[in-house]
Amino acid sequence: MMLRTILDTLESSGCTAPEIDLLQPADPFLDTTGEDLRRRIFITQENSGRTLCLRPEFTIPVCLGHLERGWIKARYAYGGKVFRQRADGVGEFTQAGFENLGSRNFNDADIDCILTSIRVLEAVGQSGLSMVLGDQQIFVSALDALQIPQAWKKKLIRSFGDDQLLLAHLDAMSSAGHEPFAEASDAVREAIASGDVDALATLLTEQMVEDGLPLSGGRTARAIADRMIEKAELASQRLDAGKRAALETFLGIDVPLAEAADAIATFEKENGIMIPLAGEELAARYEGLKGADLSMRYRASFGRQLDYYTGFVFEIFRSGHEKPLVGGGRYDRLMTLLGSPEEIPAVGFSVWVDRLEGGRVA
Amino acid sequence: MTLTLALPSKGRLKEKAVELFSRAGFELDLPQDSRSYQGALRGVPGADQVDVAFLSASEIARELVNGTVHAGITGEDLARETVSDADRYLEFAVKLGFGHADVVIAVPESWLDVETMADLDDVAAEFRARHGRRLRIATKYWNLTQSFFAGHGIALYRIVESLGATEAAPAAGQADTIVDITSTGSTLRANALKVLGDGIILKSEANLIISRHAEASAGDRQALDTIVKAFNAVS
Repeated sequence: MMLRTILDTLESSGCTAPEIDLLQPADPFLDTTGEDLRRRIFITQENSGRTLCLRPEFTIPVCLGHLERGWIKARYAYGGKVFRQRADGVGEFTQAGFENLGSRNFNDADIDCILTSIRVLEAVGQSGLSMVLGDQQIFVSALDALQIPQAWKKKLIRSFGDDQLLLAHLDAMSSAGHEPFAEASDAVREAIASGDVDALATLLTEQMVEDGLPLSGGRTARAIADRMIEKAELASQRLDAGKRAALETFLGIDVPLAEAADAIATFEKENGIMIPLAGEELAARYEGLKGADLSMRYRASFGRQLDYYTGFVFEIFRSGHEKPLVGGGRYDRLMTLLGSPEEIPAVGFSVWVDRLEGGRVA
Repeated sequence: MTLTLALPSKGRLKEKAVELFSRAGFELDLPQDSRSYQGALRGVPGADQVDVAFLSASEIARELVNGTVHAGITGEDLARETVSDADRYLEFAVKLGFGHADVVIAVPESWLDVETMADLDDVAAEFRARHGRRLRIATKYWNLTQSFFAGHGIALYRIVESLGATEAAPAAGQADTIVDITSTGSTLRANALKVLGDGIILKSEANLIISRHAEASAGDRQALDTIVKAFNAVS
């Protein structure tokens, strides 16, 4: 009933609702999300040996279908049962949602995504809602503005969204590391000291041949050499206390969306840096959303730890509740991970339909 | 009530287990002939009858989790691999001092840049962009690998199941790294693999393990208690 209303609302706003099979090939899920997902889904095997799973979510099948049809852009609706392993409780949920694939007008698509989710919640009688918004891209720009070295930057971006892990990385970067490659041969150490990637790659190739490792198909000598030099450079560095403090201040920003642009401006002024576009984008988000009937916050540390999420993320809660009714965001890297030769922008949300019961206005 | 124990059916684990019972002062009746896998334990106060089932080491772990045997001797690695939340199902009652093996993550020696799990995290994150596929790990330890990697915040890899000669998988091009057991490290070295500095997943040895889910009478519990005390005295 609730699901039907959600799908009707989405379809009447112009979304296509493709058929999604209950049984899905498991590889696309495991390849994009990682092996760890295996423990959280229901896996089975075909007689042919192909690994299948009960659909754990809709986004990946919707995206694969989009690629198969070869459409340039489309807005999709989906809804039905999804299956995940849980330590307590049933592994079966109802989920509905929305995907907007291929739209290159990023800010408009982001706003449309959030407003559509609010419309869906209102259509099923939800009120007293609040939203939290985050944006990985602003974090990336802040790292750039603070001139954080590339290798550290990548690590910090990967842990964005997990405050504990992020702090652990900051700790490691702030303290003196041990000297790397203490046990390497003199020739290797010399090549590192002189920053000679070619010489280092040649030495590594020789060792790989000696070790009987295949030279193609795995890590190349060149990739190893590049990383050794990068690592040697970082070993002598330490994250400056001022930059660390600045990063912690940035991650602590948690303000009403209306004040987010000002908070960024204050942060920029205090640290003598510029985070290009951050203030403007937050202001544009607020402009696009300010008519909506819910409270909105920007939390700088809010992100999702999936490597295909690239930009803004949001969650909508019934005020006073911990579990979100809606979660969504931008995942521009997903389509290329799924095999698209070119980048296809993607933004969407999903609704936890089972959590909607009880929140309805009489 | 009958108390059922499970012991390894072959190899050094079996020899050591049988020896342990006799050292601890119990009389163990071995199977009558080589095709039988049923024995009995005598001289245990409290229990009317103690059956001993001789099973493969990994079956013992499974039976303990299911609660179809009361206690058994097997490797901690196999027990923890059988079920992710092992301590909820199993009580690791006595470390027996034999069957030592470390479950480790090992990478090719030529990966000079990879010394710790943090390095492997960097490599795994960029593997797909650089090599067109995820980092592959050959192992038979799915559960142990997944929880250890999750603990280090690493998700972007794939497991390739390997039921034998895992250490040869990188050279054969089937995988990039391995998770396997090692006792002296010589097999790893012979295959040009090195253990990461913080890459020891589990220091395993044979344990007397008691099932938390097997139905046991007061007498059974008393008998198990006697065995635990006797083992503790000689281990």
